[in-house]
Amino acid sequence: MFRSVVLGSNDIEQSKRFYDAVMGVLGCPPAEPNWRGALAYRNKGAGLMISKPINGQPASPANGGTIALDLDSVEQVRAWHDAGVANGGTSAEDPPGERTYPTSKVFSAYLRDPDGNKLCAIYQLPA
Amino acid sequence: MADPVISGNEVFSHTCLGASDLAASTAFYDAALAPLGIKNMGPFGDSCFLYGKDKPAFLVLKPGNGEAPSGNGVTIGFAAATPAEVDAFHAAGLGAGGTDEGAAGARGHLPGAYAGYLRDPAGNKVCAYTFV
Repeated sequence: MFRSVVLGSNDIEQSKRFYDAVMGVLGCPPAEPNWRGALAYRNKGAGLMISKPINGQPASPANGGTIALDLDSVEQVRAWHDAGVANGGTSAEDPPGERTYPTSKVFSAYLRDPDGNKLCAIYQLPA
Repeated sequence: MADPVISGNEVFSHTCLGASDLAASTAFYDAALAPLGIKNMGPFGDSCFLYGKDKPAFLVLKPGNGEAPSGNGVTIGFAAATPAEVDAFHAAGLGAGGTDEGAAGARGHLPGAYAGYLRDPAGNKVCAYTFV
């Protein structure tokens, strides 16, 4: 359903360190800045791009915005979270753990990237 | 792995964007996303609406901190199957409270890319994207 998500960065080197680590947990190779200095990570049919805003203004996170990634195991969610914290991100919301919703149970973790963008990793627990 | 009950069916499980006025934002997304086969699946709690094809994957919500939506540099890109779907997304969104952020058309930086960009009523940037 999604083709791409672009998130803003104020420091591509800092973003590269963070996203190479967290997207590396999903199997993405390290990204090299493209022709306009953006990083692109492709996985499971869609792309996550990290770019300086094209209007030249500082990047800021979307208030109310969260980008959630589908991961394949509890261990992968934990590794994703810890890789982010070790590479310039900060843990957000509750620590990695199980969360129960009306129709599902998941194991999830939340991070803020170095620019404050809010990310989530989810593993759908068997019913 | 269990069949996900919430998923965009690719690397993204889901994405959320903030609304200042839920009625205005849902009117926009109801119109703009319909040509892409994405429908309003109803409220989730009292400050959030779910959108998806066959399961929820896009959430439009009032920010939990009570402040207005904001942000610079963020774009959510929805997958379109054809350029005609991109055209319909852009036209429908413009007619339902969205503002133009890039006309529907070919994007020369990638071979075959065809996209249209809008801002939703809260100012979030979204696009529909396909390759021909």
